[in-house]
Amino acid sequence: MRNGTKLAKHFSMSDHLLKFGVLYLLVLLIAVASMMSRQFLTAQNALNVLRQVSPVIILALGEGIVIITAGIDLSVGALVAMSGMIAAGAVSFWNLPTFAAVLLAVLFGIVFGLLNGIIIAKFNISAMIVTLATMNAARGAAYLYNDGAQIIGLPDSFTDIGRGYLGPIPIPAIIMIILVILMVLLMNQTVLGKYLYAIGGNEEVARLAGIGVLKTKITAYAICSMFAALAGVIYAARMNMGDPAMGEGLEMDAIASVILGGINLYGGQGSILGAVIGAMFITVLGNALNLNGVSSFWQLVVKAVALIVAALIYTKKKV
Amino acid sequence: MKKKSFCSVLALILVLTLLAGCGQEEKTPQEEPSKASAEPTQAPAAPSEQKDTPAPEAAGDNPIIGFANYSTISYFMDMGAAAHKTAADAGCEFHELYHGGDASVMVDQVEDLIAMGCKILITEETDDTSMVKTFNELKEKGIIIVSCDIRTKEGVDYWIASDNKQIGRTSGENAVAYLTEKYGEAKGTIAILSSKTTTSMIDRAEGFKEVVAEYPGIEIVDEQFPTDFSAVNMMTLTDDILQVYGKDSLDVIFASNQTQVEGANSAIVTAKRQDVALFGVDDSDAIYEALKDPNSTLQSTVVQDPIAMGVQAVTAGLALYRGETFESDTYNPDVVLVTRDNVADYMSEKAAQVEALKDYYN
Repeated sequence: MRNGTKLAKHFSMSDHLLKFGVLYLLVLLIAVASMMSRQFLTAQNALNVLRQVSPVIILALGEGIVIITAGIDLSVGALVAMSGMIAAGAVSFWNLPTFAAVLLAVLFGIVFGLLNGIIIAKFNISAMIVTLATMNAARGAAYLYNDGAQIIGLPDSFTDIGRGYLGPIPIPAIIMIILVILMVLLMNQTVLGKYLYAIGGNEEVARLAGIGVLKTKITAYAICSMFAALAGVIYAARMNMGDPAMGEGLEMDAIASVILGGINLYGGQGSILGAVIGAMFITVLGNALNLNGVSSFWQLVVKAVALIVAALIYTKKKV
Repeated sequence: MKKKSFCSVLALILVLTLLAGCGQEEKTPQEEPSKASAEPTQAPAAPSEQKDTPAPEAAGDNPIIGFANYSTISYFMDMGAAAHKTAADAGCEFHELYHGGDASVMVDQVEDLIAMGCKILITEETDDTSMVKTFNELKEKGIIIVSCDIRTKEGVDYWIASDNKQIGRTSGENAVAYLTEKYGEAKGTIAILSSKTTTSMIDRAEGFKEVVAEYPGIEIVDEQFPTDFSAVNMMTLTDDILQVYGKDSLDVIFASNQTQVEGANSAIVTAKRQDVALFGVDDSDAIYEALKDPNSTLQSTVVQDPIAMGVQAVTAGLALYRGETFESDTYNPDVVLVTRDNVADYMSEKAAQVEALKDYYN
């Protein structure tokens, strides 16, 4: 009986860590950073971090649902550049209203994601190979779009998406919060959410259970790319330019956020909110290290250690 | 039927969005994006006006020229286009490849260029050392090597580089003048965005610090050495620097390359920190726009002359190939300080130069 209680406690602790491990790490990080830098725990820095983390969270949300289906999308960083170029080109070259430019970029993202999803799901090709190829295609297209040149001359209505505020809250943060709420609802309250987990858990069983695996996987990639396109618009607005070199390496930040957030890289497990907290952890860590003047060489090491610690926690939990 | 319609709509959206860019009037990098109309005052000499050496003329033996270029940012593309035009004017075949800063890729590309029959090799190397062995092997085969933008002359026949310390000194003098005007004396605080790995940026920061060191009232309070120079990362880093140094506690940020300037400018504008003046190096359309933007605090940028460098690379390479001798094996092109006052004139003149090269961009 006593052994049974111990076992129950062990599993209960494991589950708890699985759900909240990175959250505890984030709280610990905030506590330590607050003690080490007086600038860290200020309203101004909180808004600064909120602005910095918003596009990363948006990318992580999309990457999260793809990874929940046991897939991966390496093309999101390049899509950030391409969608930023499309939106910037639409307002700068075509003089389209900002709303239409954003819509165009998002539509492009959806179409791009649908193509990713169709190639991966319909032809059963490895997601890593397909999105590696489309990553290069998107980066190349971003350079071809304006002969390798940046697109400038963006109106204030556009740059406000990245630089503006609604009250004291940065506009990117408002967009991010809305998307987080929608994604939490989608993953927890809809049939699509259940299908995504089911496919990631065991695709064959999901298929036998009558789930439309093809459509669901394509939808996941379309949502992922749509979010990447939105992040691209935010970055272009913040930087006041469409830049074909933008977003290099952001796919790694998105994937790291998802892993830190406890979403299983093999699919089927983890919470989309975990990806949000993972992205926050990475951004807050970078902010805290910068505020304390830590060398960028050491920052790479610290971030690597954080990723390994998170991986160890989740590996231990699954035992 | 439904599927066909769906696919048609997808295809239409893709085509339309891509056409948004392609439908533009032909635009080359660095082209004047707005309507600057003032007459040029201090633009670098046009390719046909280079005085150091005569432009090469077509001859019976016209070697194939290869350029292992760095990347597709405007600086390198301008250099490539100028080299391409000079080679074409001399009746030479020209090939250009981009290695993206990866030394291993560059080694492969150099081999590809030699396989294409190139007798003159122009290079934009990633660092001072990684190509030395390859160059020594190529020299034994009689290949003429013209190197751009590194610190060492080892293994090369002709060496072209802006004086990066001078670039830093020029920016430093401009920053000191700004602080003197702001406070009535040379005093204030400066943060520097630099590098520990990229030699040109190291030299620029050193040149900047050399000037500032002469003024005891000016203090360098922060120096950052990022590993990731992307504009987004530079923006995030500057966001955080601005948190550390609150309002009126930081006067100047010196950014030592294009992406650092772009990122720092974006962070300063977003934070509405008009108290922090930005001094930069390198140029891009976005940097020129910032120099004209009243919300930006970018005061100046020091630009190199990639067009003159591209012209000189081919000119020197051809001369050496034909057995001619030069007074020097080195060419240091002039650098130009572009400020808020002269940016329109400079852009106008640069646009004219780029227009003349428009058929030669890769």
